[in-house]
Amino acid sequence: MDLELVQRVQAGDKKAFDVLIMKYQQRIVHVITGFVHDPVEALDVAQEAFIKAYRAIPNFRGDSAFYTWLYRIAINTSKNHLTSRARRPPAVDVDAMDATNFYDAAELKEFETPESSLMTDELQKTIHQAIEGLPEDTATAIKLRELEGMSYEEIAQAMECPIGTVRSRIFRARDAIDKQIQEIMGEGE
Amino acid sequence: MKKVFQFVLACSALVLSFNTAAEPQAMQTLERMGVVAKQLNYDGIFSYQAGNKLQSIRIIHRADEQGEVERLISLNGVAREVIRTNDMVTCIYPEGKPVQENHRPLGRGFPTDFLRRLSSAEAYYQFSLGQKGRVASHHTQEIVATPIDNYRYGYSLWVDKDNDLLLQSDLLDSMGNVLETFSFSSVEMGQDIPEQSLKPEMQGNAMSWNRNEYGLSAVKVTQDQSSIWQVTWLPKGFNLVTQQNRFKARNGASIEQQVYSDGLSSVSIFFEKIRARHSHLHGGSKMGAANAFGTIMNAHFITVVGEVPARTVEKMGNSIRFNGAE
Amino acid sequence: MTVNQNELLSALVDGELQGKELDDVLQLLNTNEQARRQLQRYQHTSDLLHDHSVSHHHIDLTDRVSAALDDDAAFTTSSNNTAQIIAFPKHFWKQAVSLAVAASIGALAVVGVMTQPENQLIQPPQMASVEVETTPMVVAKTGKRWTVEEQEIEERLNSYLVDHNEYAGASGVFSYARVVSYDMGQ
Repeated sequence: MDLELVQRVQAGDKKAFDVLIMKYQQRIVHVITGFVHDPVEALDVAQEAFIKAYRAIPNFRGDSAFYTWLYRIAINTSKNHLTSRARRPPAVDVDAMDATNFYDAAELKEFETPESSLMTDELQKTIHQAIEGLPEDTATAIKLRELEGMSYEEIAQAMECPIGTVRSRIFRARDAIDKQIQEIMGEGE
Repeated sequence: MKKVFQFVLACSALVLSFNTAAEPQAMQTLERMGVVAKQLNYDGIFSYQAGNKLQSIRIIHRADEQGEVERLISLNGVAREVIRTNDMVTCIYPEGKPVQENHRPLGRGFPTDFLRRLSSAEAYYQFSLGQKGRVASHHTQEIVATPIDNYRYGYSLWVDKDNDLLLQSDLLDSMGNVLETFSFSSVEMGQDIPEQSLKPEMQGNAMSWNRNEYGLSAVKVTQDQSSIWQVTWLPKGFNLVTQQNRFKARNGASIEQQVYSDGLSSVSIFFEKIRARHSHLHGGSKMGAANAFGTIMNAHFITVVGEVPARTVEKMGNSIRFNGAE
Repeated sequence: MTVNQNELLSALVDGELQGKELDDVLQLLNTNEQARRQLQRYQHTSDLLHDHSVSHHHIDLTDRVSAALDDDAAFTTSSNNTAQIIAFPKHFWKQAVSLAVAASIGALAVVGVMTQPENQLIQPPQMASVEVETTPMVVAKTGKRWTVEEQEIEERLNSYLVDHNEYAGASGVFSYARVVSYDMGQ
């Protein structure tokens, strides 16, 4: 899915890398927060992960999806961060040989506050309601894209319409959903 | 059958319960995966790809009151069929081809001891839920096994969401590059498997044996006191799981093989007495997902091989000490 | 922001932009903060539909990452340094019987995967004193053959690898696949 963007980054286009950051930073920060908890620290670790990804991207061969590759880097960066944090003079003595494996089990649990979990539930409910309120073709297009993971070309074949129509329908669906979400999140233009 | 299923599930829950660092849902999925692979009927084609190698295999698996029957057919390359009925394994080669004395064509026996090996491995990998995806048109959930250090590779396991069958397994290096992939390209699950599907079609030379005769322990074994070799450094969690002197090299020399594993990753070390001058690996080499390191010590060629990073085979190789009489 | 611009952003979320349209969108995002926020909102919606866990707070790491990378030299297009992206044909993993599988090997050849890499020995890895990798390892290009000069060594390594996978493979079926695939080369 991100093949062309990655190729542009490999050719030296940093703007293309900005887009990859914009696409995946929310998910990556969330993954990292599961390790480091502190939101400010999570942003620092996320920054480090993206920097590592940029430097390593010449070696990215496309065997896996870009996000899968980025996710691994984020996990490794988080682990290394915890390890180096553990090596600073600790409150409790830690055997140096065990330092690399010093993981407080609590730190590794999925970290989601009740508030963010509720927010996720509410947003998902809003999105699904918004989709059900769409015209049938528009709803079908967004469902095939987001829930079935089909490409525009595959959707065009399935719905027997041009690819441009698929793109337009999916955009209209997203636009309608976006307006509903903005009401909840309280964001305005 | 249901009682057996529940018993196995209970045992596996006990085995896995002490891991508190892994995501519970990830471990539960793996636990179901291990059980389902034994209990489910399925028929599919999967491909193995590493570097530029591509191997396709059809697998048909049936489980019922009599136990398990499994048939594997190589679809390209060397023709071969393997039929396993519980612990009896039959390997069939084409007529005219010498029968290979490979008594473990199914390796360590997936999925029979997968859960037991997983319990060894879980202290050295962090298991977590990854993404949702699709493999062979089936919706899947990814389980990520991230190694605790850079001496072993990680795994990405894609498990069918409805049936919990493992549909794809990727071996990953520290940068997330895929070194090796096993992936179903098509699979049907839960159907009746007729008897005819499990009969071999290849005409050729057959060899049968009970795989327990060549039993491999997945738990730590005590090093044979007669071994003159000692490996003084191992990655955390690696234990000796097999040691044997079965092989004869072409020049008649016997070869000792020691196998070390943490449950998921494995390394073999071969010790071959030098009987004649011939070329041997010095230093490192790599093919696909495998790394090798060679050295010479006390008139022996020593080769360390495994699906682990190069630094691991080199460090293990350099830590070998000779304990025998000079 | 025009409707057309928002539509391009929506298509960008799906990875369905190429060529000039992608150029235009990259330029838009580089100069228009509103466009960046819109992209992130569309991406947020997509993530929620996929049931991905995401942070709900607005985050933008692009400036700080960009500032940190300002001193990095731009990547060149030198083929020595840039890994070739292997674009598998879309239907690569579709169902196949044996003849069709052989044909898919031909498909791999079409996208250049079968190109023989030059044999090269790997560099000795840095022996880190702790289990933290601070510099990337130099990794030899993987291929279907050992990176050694002599056939005798290659044959011996193949034999060891078959023995290793028989007794130490991660799983029986997978070991079988490895063993059979190594036989192909012999």
